[in-house]
Amino acid sequence: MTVVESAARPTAGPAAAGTGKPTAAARAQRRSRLVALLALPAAAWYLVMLVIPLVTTVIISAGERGDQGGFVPQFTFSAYAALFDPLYEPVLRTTFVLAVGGTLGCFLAAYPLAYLLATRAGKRRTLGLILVVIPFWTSFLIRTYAWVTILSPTGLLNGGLGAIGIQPLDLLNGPVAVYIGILYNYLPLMVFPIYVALERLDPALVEASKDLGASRWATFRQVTWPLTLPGVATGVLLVFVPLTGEWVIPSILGGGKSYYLGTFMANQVTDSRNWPLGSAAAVLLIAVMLVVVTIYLRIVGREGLQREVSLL
Amino acid sequence: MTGQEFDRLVEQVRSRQISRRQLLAIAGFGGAAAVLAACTNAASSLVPSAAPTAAPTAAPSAAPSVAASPSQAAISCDLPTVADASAGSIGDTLAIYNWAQYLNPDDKALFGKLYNVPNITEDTYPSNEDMLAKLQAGGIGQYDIVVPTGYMVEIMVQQGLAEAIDVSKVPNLQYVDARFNNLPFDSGGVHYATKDWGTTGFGWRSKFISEKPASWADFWTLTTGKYSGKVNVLDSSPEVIGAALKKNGFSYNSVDPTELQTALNDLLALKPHLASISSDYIAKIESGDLWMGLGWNGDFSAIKANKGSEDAVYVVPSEGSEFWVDTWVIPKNAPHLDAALAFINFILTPSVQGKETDYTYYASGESGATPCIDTSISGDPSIYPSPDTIAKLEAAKDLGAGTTLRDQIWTQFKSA
Repeated sequence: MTVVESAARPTAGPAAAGTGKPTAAARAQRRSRLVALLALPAAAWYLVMLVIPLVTTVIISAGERGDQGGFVPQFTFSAYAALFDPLYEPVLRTTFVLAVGGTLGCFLAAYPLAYLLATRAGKRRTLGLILVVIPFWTSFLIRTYAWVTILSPTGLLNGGLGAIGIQPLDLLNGPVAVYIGILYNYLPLMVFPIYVALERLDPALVEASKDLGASRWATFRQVTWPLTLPGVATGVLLVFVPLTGEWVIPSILGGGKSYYLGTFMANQVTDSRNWPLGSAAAVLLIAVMLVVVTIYLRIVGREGLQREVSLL
Repeated sequence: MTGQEFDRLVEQVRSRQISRRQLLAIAGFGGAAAVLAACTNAASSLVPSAAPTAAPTAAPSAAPSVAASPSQAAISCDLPTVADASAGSIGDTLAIYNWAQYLNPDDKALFGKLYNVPNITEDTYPSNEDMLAKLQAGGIGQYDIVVPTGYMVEIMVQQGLAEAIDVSKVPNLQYVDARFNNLPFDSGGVHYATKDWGTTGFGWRSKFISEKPASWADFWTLTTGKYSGKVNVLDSSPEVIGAALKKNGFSYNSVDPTELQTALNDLLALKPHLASISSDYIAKIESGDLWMGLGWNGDFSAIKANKGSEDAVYVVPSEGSEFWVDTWVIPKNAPHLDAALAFINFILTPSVQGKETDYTYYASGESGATPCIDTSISGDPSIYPSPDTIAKLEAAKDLGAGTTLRDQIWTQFKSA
């Protein structure tokens, strides 16, 4: 979210400043001073909450672990080099698989749902949207724990299956439970951008396509899909980025038996007290995210971005 | 951030806070029973002695039967009175930084009353690392008392964050058992006073597991065999790697690459049979989703105290294991040094130690305090193991540069 908001910022600033009338030069100056003053809280927020922590992380990642942990200031890339030790390859791989798989799963579930809501729900559209949002009123943690009581060997699901004579399923502490948790928690983040894109789609375009003889599939492929692609891209961004650092769901529903980058970083800062290694992993993750966001901007384009942001 | 929330929750479990909270409900019930008992035995010689102090009198709990034991005549289970408080001025403020629910509020209030220290503040932290980070980030000079685990004492001493304790002002240190002096994490043993201690081992529900495993080897055999998929280990590298090392007869604190490789091989054999690697396992053993787990004695006290899982059993494995020690430490530049010293001396009074253990369910470092403790606690071998068992325990220490090697072993175990 932060990335999207900050990307939108430059366009908002000049626009506000540009509305000043060219009367007295002094007045314009006062105005720009006012704008600077108004921007101050936001600037201070970004400085304290984003820039300073980020710079600190980069500085620590260039240091070395002290004998009792923490870090010794240095200028070295040894922490980065250590990350590329084959030892950590499985960590990076499982994280990547989780993020890509989770995003793909959310997309496959969200697109038809959003399509249904935007085009077929009629009067029940609002109800449908509210139902998608309602789980968000509960804490993320509690929602995830709720799945433990459903999926556990002595849980609700197996109780129900047992009542109708079906063998219990051992789903908790495995990949199935993790993907259920991801789908459940991240789905709305994918549904809404796609819904908005579909909702804004001018029905006349679809009708025109049909009038011109295109089949349903061709209409979807050549009209609907390209026009909703920015929405899909936004959804992918909103799901993929947090998923790369996700470790709550795998820890609770996956039984902690896989090692993800998020867990790894937390572990370096706490148990292993190897701040440089943890920071290097964080910086690496940020770099990967920058690439993803760049691709996103390419797809959506600047104007598209503004539109997406204004609707979020 | 939800990540942080989760972290906190896990740390609560890890810091044994949740076990303590669960226990508290039961302790509250037991306390009420004790008050009733005190009323019916009003003629008993034990009640009057505590009354004059007007201290939290609800507390003088189940001690009666044991206090009668003649061998412990030298130590009184009467709580200190104003007469025991030294006259010198120690100021009116004390700032404590502690784990949550890890200091009996009655004892805190009594200290404030006897020593005329009305302003006692207590902030809490969820992990040793949080405490350290806070001290490093300007917390020095804010707190008079912190409660690090042994290995963290070592780090604090080496970083110059711990004040040496003026032994002459803490005469009650004499009551602490000799084996808690001079532990490897603080050679000389002058920077800490033992708060309480416990062990790492494993436990199981005897309802589901009829065997009586007694060793780490048994734990491995059952986990990889008959009870595959029903066992949890803590999500914490020192304990899990330490267990695999102990199984092979090595030191819990080993950083020897060959020994660690042997331990890793054992861990990799265990991994596919584990249900989970989680520090949040207490409720799942209680519900019967998990049948056995590697963990701390306090966790299994909580499980046993839970209605429906009283059949839980905890052992310290026969090959030996770890004992952890939590300590009272005075951080450098403590603003109220005299109050801190007086507090440590007060809390080390055997009768006060009894009240602490009744509250926390963790063993006191003073065997002399045993008669002052509720017999259901002092008679529980998972809290108070036999001397033979104690002899086989090893104190965990900070491993310095060796931590990196252990972390690599942990990474291979976790990502396998």
